[in-house]
Amino acid sequence: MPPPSSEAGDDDGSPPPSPALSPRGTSSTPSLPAPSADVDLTDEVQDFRFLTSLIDSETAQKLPSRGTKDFEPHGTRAQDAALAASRAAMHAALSLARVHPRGGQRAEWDGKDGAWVDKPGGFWVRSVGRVVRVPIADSDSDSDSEDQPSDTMPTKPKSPRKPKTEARTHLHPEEALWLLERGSLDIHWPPAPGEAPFTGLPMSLQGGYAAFLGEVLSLEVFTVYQYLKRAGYTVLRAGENEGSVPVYKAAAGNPLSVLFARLWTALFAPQPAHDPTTNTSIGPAPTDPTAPRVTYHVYKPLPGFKKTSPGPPDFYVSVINARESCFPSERQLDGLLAQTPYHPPTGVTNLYLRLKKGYRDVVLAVVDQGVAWSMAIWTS
Amino acid sequence: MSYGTGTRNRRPNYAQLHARPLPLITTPLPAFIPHNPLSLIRILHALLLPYIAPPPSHPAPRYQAYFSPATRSVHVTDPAAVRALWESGFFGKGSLSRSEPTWLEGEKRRRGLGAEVTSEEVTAKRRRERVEFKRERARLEREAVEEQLRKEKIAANGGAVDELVEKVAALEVTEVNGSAQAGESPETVEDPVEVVVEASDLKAEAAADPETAPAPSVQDVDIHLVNQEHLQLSLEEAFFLTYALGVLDVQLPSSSSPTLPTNASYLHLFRTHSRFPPSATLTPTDPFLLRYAVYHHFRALGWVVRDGVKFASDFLLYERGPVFKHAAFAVMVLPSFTHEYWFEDPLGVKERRRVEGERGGRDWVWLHCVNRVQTAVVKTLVIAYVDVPPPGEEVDDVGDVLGRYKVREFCLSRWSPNRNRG
Repeated sequence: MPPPSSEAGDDDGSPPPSPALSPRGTSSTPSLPAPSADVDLTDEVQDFRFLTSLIDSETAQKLPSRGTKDFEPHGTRAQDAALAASRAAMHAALSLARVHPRGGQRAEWDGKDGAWVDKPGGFWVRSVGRVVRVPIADSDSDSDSEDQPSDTMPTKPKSPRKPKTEARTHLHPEEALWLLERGSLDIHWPPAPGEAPFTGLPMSLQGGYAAFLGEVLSLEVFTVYQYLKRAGYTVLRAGENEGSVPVYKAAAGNPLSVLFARLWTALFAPQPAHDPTTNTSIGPAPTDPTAPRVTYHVYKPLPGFKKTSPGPPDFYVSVINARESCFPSERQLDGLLAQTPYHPPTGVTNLYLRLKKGYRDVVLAVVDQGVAWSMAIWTS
Repeated sequence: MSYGTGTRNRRPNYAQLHARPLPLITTPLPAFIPHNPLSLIRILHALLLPYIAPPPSHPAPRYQAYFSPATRSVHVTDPAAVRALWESGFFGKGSLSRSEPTWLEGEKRRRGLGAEVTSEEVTAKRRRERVEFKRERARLEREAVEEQLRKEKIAANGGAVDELVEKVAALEVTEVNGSAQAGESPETVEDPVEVVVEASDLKAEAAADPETAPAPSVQDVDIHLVNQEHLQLSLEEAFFLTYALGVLDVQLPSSSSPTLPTNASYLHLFRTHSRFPPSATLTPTDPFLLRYAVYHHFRALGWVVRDGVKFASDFLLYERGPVFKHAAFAVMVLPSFTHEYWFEDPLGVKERRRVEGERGGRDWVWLHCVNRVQTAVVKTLVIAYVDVPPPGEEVDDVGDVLGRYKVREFCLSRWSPNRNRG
């Protein structure tokens, strides 16, 4: 969670693209050019002194850097000072009071699985939430708040011949909870009957988790959602985005090469193997009802993204609870991959590339007791 | 400083040495050159020759090997066969070497007979250099810390301190603010005594180094070295060479008949020994059948398949061979049950449970372990599912048995959100 800063509204959770220049490691030892085989980026520790620069608003656009790590105290004051500075920065970042910005956005829990936003706006509207047309409440009942119609219990229009509707922004539970966690949204409990909307008690974080997690949204799914969102991706529910999945159209092959390929396989039949080119369609798993489902369609954070026409997704993510499932069987994997588009590798004759580039691929996000681990899996 | 500072040993011409991908002889058609009518005659000659005097495609006497039940492998001792099987197709492993059978070469070299440099020696040399590099790096770091301590001591005693203090403070500030300009180079102050000590250390090490040590005189050496190494084929390799290529005869250690009569009897022998203890009750889930189906599948696609036990997998896939490139893929073989027999017949359900385990499959921790190892050695994990057929009557045709197994591969790799954003 990034500490709130005055410029927090500008970024989308993604690190800014400015080049990093930052503290080297705590040691000032001369470093020989290390052999690349010995360098593993995941082994390095972060230097928490970068957190001070996040608090200073002038230098907020900096990336954390990695450096050579010190393995033991060697008694120099320089090292002690660096350690103390790092600790102080960490404490300062943690002790900062987290307050929601004054005049921030408001929303109200819809009583089931989501929230209605009061006046949608801000950086996140580009990729989060969807516009729903709801019947407008009667004007005489809430004449005092025409621009803030109550929606938690929408009153039926009295005149069915004239159904007045209005567009309102609705958030899924994971979206509402992510924005609440992030400090971008104030969510309120539904008000007491007779009171104006958005005047209920503000929802605490604990209350948010209790209200939004449940049958619709499991903790595993939310873990993956917020992880991807914080990494900067745009994440849409797969079930609501099926129209964006591209459909494969076979290019007309050279008849001669097709004939030759058939002749070749007839002459030199190897060990019987699965032919990935037989099924090119997309659809829900027909072979195995227990196959995992694609949970999210994920888009890279590129400019020009439009919620209404997102285009083909970049990744297809399936969230899996590691404690309740095994590594999927062949049928289950087949069913899972059938939900992703077919994209045969074109013009690949190389042995290595034929295996390296698949026909379909999916990202499995395996969550084991809150620890997420993701991997790509593809057929070839 | 870089690795491999020493002179590089000249490698043999691997492309020429391993020109044949399998131990078979092929006679390609000569090229047709339009402006040279004689090339037509050459083509005609090549086309007609097989009808008159067919050129050999297989080695004239088949390579001989014997089956060793104790090690569950097949041994080849004839040096010509060992060279042929290694050079064309990279079959087997030297029993006293890392992979290529080079024990004799290494032994000759050790005794000063001036043989070729073996790959094991190259690896050992590289490792020595790496240790040396790390020692040097540690020394420089230690010196830098000592220099820093000395400066701080001077600063604390209040000698010519002010500028030093300022310098250190400047160092701190630049570090925190993030400008990468570090302080002065620590190599400016060099302790001469230390350098001398290091040099003498190196000299002593060089003397102890077996490679640079003076070779023993030739008189001490027993010229008649006996090659004590044999080529060790895994059961899958041996069956591929006998059944698929037909270039190998496997003898049983204590049997009246020197070789087995048919491929089916080879298959029976290897299936029996694919479990421990060997059991004569054969099931469709025999480990040998599952592994051989995958082995044959990837060999048929053109891969050089070698055992992957070094990297905790079933097989490694090399593009042309281990001397050319590292393996890019590691294969894990898993059984897959799709036929209704495995879900409806009580015997089938029992057998499936036995193979799949209590939980009905491998758990995610297993997958993480496997994938972690493969990521560390820069290989992509391939899960090869072998669809197991229901048990049928035993047939003599090996092709019928193997044809009922179906292979399907899935590739896996770690996926990091932070590296796929761009």
